Amino acid sequence: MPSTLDEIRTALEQRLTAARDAQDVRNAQIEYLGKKGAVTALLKQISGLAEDQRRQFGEQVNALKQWALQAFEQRLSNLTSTARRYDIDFSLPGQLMPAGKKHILTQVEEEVESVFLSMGFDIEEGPEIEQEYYNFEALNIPADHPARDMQDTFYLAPGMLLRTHTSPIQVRTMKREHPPIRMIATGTCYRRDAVDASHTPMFTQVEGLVIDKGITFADLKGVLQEFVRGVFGSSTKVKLLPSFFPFVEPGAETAISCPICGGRGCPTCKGSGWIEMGGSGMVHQNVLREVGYDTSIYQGFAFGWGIERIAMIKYGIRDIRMFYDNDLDFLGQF
Amino acid sequence: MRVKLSALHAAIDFDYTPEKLVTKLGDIGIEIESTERTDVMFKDVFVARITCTALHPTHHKLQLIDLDLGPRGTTSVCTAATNVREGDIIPVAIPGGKTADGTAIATRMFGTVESFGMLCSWKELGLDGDLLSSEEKEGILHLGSGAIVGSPFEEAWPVADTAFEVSVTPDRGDALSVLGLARWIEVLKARDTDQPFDMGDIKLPLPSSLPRARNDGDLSVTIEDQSLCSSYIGVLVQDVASGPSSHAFRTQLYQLCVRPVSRIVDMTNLCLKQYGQPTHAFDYDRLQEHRIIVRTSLPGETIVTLDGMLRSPESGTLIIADAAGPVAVAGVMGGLASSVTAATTRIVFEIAHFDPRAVARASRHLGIKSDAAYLYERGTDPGLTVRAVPSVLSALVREQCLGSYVSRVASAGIPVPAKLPLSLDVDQVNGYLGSNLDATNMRTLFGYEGIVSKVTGTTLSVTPPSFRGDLTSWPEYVEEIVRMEGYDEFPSHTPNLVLRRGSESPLKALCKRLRQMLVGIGLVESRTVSFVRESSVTAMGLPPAPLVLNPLTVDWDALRPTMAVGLAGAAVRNLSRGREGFASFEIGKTFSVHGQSFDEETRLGLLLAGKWQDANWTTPTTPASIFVLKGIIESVLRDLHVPFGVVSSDSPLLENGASILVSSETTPLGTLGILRHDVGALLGLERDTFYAEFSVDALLESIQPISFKEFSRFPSLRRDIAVLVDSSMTAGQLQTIVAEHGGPLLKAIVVFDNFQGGSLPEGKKSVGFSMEFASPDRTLFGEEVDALVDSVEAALATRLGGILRRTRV
Repeated sequence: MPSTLDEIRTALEQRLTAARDAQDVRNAQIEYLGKKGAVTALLKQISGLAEDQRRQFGEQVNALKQWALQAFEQRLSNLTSTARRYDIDFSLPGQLMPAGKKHILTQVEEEVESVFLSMGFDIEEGPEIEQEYYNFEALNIPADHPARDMQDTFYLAPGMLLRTHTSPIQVRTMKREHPPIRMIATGTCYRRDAVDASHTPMFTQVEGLVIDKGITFADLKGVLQEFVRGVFGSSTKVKLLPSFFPFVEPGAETAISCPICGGRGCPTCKGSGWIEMGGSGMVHQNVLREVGYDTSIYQGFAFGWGIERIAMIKYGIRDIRMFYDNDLDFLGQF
Repeated sequence: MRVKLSALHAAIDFDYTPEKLVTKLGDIGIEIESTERTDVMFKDVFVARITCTALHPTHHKLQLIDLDLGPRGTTSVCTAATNVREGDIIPVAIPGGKTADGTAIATRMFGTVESFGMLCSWKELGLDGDLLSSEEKEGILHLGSGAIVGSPFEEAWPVADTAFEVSVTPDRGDALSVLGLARWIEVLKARDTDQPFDMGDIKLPLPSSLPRARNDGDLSVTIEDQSLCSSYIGVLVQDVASGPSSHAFRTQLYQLCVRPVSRIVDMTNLCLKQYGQPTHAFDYDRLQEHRIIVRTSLPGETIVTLDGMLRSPESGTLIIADAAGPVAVAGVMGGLASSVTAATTRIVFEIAHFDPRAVARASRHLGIKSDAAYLYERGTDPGLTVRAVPSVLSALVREQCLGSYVSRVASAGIPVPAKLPLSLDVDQVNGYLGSNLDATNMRTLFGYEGIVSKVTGTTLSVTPPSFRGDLTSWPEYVEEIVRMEGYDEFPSHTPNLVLRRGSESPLKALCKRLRQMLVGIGLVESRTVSFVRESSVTAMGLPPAPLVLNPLTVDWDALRPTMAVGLAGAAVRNLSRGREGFASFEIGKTFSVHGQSFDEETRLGLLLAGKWQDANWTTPTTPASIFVLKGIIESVLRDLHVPFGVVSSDSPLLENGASILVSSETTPLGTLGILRHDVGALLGLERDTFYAEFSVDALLESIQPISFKEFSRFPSLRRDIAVLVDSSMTAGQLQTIVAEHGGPLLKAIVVFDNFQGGSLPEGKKSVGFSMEFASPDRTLFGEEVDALVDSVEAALATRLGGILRRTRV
């Protein structure tokens, strides 16, 4: 039996490491801390020591006792927790849980909406069966303007059509409310395009509009940058290119740095590093005048992007028809 | 618009590579959709003249051809081609050479005759078949007069080139010609070198006066409404000779990507493609009284257009008339009666500037899409083009030997009024762009585009060139500043806006919530097209759906009055691919028509078919059933705090006796049930399908506000009973009695059993209830609960004749 403090400590450590079960640990505890235990023996020695040694030795022995108690407890709990009580085959699948899924277009739509809600934009809505006036005339697309060819239209009756974009919601909002206006609208739109890998006669748009005093082209760029970062990730960049949309002037096509390759060039961006996402620009004076705004006071910007396009770029989907096929193998992936 | 690089080089000098040009044009808003490079793939092909033809002595299908190769001497070949005659100028591949597809040419024996090469068709030369006439594609290619005999074919024909497909936005009519693109290339050069735009860099002939003409023909031009036609010039050409265009002219057409037709048509096409100016040729002798009147059409006037169709332009359509009536729809299409024929000897070329809207209106109303209308709608240049083109055309007449001379130029509406300057405020521009440019910066930027500007303090007076019809208001000039400075050069910052919360409509929020709930329950969301087939909808017995006047296909000729069609389509697609179950919902608009007005409503459709729950080793399969569907609806309505009751429904979509109408107080919310079998069959579903459709608007109205109710903190007691009753008795009827007699302490009733058959007597069923009792303020005694159960049992026995099967604590 070891007798000095250090010997006892070393021996106890070895004894505990060797202990294979709780009973063994309890036995060791009796060996060291029981009535005839080694530590107890040391404790008994204290009273027999001289005054000057008693204090120091006493402290050391008591420290050893405390350490030993902790060591027993620690080892005991280690042994208890590692004991193998079960033998479960975890390669078996768990109980089946409901496997519902939001449609990928809904997921992207909600993501876009939440980015804009967080920037203080209201979400507006409007009818899918729209008056020609709201869809075209009020947006500076008069009858017989070649810009109408850009949007082949389904008609339900003279003057009544299926909206070709979400922009009529801009007009309805501006006619109803006074600036400042900060809104987006998401919704289904219709164009008479033959069905192929990049066209369906029905698609989803997100439309944005900001009107106030002193809103500038630079603000448009800033807001689009925030939007793109929110949806595609914080390193995505925005580039504007000249383009034409009758309801904006200057008008711009918005491109983003390719989120697939990070702008280095890949098949998705056709090697250019940039992907065109949608139109934008400063709201045309004719549009503002049409809704009765004073163009010497108010100005602003608008943009319109396709939700399908965002989803296709974000997830590398190559065929727009898949969104409306509702194949569970497709929907289940997102 | 398709055009080749060589045509651009012929119009302006520049040293951008094709790739660079595409990028640079894109940066200023002219998109080149695609480029296609063609190389010379053949070798040793020369232009030759046929000097003699003879039949092969033994091979009857072959001819012996002697060829003059100019400085290269002479040679002879055998050919099976039939379209070759003495004097023809044709391409020949000589031994040692190869054709475009790689076939090597060598000396060959045909019987006893040696052939030193091969005459070539367009295919052997790798030419673009789309740009050749049908004659040119038949047999051996013929070169027109003027091709140099003995020259290598690649020098005689612009084979190696790059074709651009230019796609311009509707405001860029000024870029729809070689001249237009050359001007934009000049803008690029000006910007790169920081020099002002210089029209002098354009190499195309741009005369600035009307052609000289002999005054020996009679032709008068009158414009009735100058707001619809600002200027009109008629050029009369005498002694017209028909035939194909010269070789030089023909190869120029190849560079312009224009297919040749005839000398006259080729000339009008060249003006259109080269200068962006549509022109038309009338047979002078078929114009009554040799008069041209530009006017609007009268009611009832008709015209047979060049395509042979009888047209009835709406009254007020801009037309060209002679003394007798309409001879052309202005800017859209000419009339057949005044058109040029083989017998024509005198022509009037029309060169005019029509109002874009007037042409567009006529083109749309008559359903005629012509190249001329496409250009006019997008705006032509009233100044330069109308001044230059008549002279250009006249020069071409002489060059092409089309007629003996130009005789008489009749015009109206000349000179074209100059554009008025517009005043631009520098601060306003900067306030619009968020930029910090000064007046001098802006003047320099305008200068690149040929926009003349004068600076006075912080104001610019700007005047556009005549070809920029799009510049009419100050924001349009702002766009030019952005275009020239570079869209990407502008600063970007987020607007200073008042801090506030973004909001969405309660309906939108409810839709989101419903989606979340249904996804949590295990349904997949579908998004289906809003179009349906009208005849299917009618066959289902639904009210008429709004019809699409111009549907894409007959299968999509109406708007959906129900979500069932789309969801059924999605189910069929998935089940037919081996899926054993489909449980899906869609939230979207349904449409209805009431007389002249249309309505739309946001609805939720739910469809279950096949398995509801897939099986694995822990979980048994659950088939979809009407009670799975009812459970989903009950769970959603409870979660939304919508109180509801049900009655049987008469929905035309659902089976009679297997469908209910769910209402909240007096508001109908929706229906659910088994899809009628014939409706399912119509939609392609073979098995039992469970379908529900709810109005989201109605749900929104029926949501009750939530307020806290005190609940019992004492243990509850549970008692089960089962009762044998007539099969006709409903669980609901029994439940009502249980509730009435259970008293206020009865907290909940659960139906735990509903059984029929087995050992039970015919016409009877057993229904089991589990009742939970609780008091808000104390622990209940078993005895008092038993007394309540006794009273429930007594009521069931006396009121329904029910036989108590067992009582269990």
